[in-house]
Amino acid sequence: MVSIDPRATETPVNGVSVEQVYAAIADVLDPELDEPLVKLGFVGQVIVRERDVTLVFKLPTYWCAPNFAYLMASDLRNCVQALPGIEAVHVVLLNHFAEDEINEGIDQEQAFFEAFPGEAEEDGDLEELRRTFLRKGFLMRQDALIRQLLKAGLDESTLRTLQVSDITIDEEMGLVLVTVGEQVVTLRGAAKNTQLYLQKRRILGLPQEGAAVLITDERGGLIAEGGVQEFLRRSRSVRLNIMFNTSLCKGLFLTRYKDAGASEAHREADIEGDIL
Amino acid sequence: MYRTTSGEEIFVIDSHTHLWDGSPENQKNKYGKGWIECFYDYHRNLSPPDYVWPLEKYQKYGVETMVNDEFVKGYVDVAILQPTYLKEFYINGFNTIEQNNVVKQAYPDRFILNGRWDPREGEKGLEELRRQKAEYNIQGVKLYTAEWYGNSKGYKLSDPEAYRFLEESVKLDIRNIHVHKGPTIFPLNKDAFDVADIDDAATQFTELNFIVEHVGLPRLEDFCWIATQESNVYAGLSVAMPFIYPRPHYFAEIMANLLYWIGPDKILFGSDYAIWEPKWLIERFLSFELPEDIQREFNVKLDMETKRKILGLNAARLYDVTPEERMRKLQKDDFSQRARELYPVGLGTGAGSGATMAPTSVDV
Repeated sequence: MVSIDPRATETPVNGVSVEQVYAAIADVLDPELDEPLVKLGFVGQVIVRERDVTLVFKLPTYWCAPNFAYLMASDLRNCVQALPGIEAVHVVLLNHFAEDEINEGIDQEQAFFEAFPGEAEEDGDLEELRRTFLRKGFLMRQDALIRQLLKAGLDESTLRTLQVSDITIDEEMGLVLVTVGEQVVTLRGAAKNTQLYLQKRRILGLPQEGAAVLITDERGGLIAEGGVQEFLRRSRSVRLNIMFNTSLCKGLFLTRYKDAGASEAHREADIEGDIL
Repeated sequence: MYRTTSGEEIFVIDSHTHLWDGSPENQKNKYGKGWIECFYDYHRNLSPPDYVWPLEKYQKYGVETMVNDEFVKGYVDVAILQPTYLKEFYINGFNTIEQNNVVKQAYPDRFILNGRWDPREGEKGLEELRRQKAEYNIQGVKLYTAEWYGNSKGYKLSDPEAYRFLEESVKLDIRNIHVHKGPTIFPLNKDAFDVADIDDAATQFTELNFIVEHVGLPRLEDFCWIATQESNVYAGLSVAMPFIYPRPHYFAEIMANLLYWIGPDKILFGSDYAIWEPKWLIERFLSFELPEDIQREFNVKLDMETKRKILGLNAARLYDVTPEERMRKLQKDDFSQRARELYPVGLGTGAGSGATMAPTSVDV
């Protein structure tokens, strides 16, 4: 196990800064929740000693699935390692049943199946898991986007044929502008979700060009005529499940580390904020 | 039984309860400590403040506390005892059939005693299952697929060894297979919470009922899908249920989704006692109404008839309990007497009163 020296300096001499490290890991996701670890508060501490970086990372329960924990830990390591001039990166997962295997495996740059010999299969290692949750994240973002479009008054046939070039994201204002014929429809508070939706499309390898159809299933299939509600039923339960897990995991994290009771750990007002 | 102000009697089966020993004296290693502490976080994360216990009590609460919380305070007529062995973590096991049998013997009409099996125990395990049937006449088992066993960290219901146990369950007429998924399984790189193996087993063993605990959470969407495909797959509401308190909107969406996909006849109430107490769960559930926008979107109803099914009638069907007959019998016991003293007049349900998600007047 890596020991943490609390006296270690947090200011860079010749190496990177703590801010640079945080910027590098800002997009590392909890794949089950499709939310950044830093935003979730799971990265507890970043310690920089010149070119040597240690990340302390904690999860909502002692029993969080080790495969997801490993994915997150290795993503954290890879992002920091990509910074110029880094010599060593240590990820220290705390308070977890498999922390020794995980921390050592990450330190030794092992694949998951090497860190858990005899307990995992070499074939594909964690990539299938990552892909499954990428698809789920895609469906959740898409569900939220379709709902916003319908709420803004788009009819189903317009929705089915919208093209990537019909939308413009105004990041600063948090708006999405949708061109429908001569009109422009505004979706408020939709910028982040839409950006993430487009990002998932890219990672899944779906067409990016302006004329590509915006709303398709994860394989690029179009919505059948009159099939929007059917389409939504599937994505809805994916979204619901992720929202449920997110509220449970965020809440448990606050209970575990801040002794939060139910009313502090769960704020219904955050419901939209969990996704959008 | 829950009696409303209008005299209506609601039969309640708590389909998921435990009598566990998670005390430090029984903990074998750090995993035993980690297990009960994790349970405790679930408990205090979702319970209303008046129902949060001190850790010491939570680790080991004993028979008297349990029967009082279930049958006196908690409106429950019959509780199903679901074992969770965890012998790798606890010296005497966490919650074994032997521990549970003590309370079953003391109050036979109040409890249904379930057994368990583990496919990795092979011939010895089959022998043990036969013993459980012969000795306790079990009608159901609870399986924890992420249980550790030697070097193994779990199993799937689609494993050939599991098939042998499912076949034996059919032979012994153990019809109700409660499945609880956990974070580990072989191989460890696959999604341990995936419910596809239950789909496989349910297709192969149509004589058996598969009750998926925690409604498949954290894989609700996959669970809903298999439950619509397989007529013998049921939803156990434990873990989803307590969200009714801090997250009523999520709870409403989850319920509507379940009612949409699998209908009112295949959902079973369970408190997961002692993680949560049945009293507050039942009170809030009876006064709960789906918001109109959700009712409209899903086109489902959570009316009194549906609530009765979920609270008791569905489980009664699976376990051959006749609600009227059992209620009459239980009315004569000491718990019913004490419950009548505690709740001398009927209780409100909020149903039809225009109440939304607010707790009823009986709530503290």
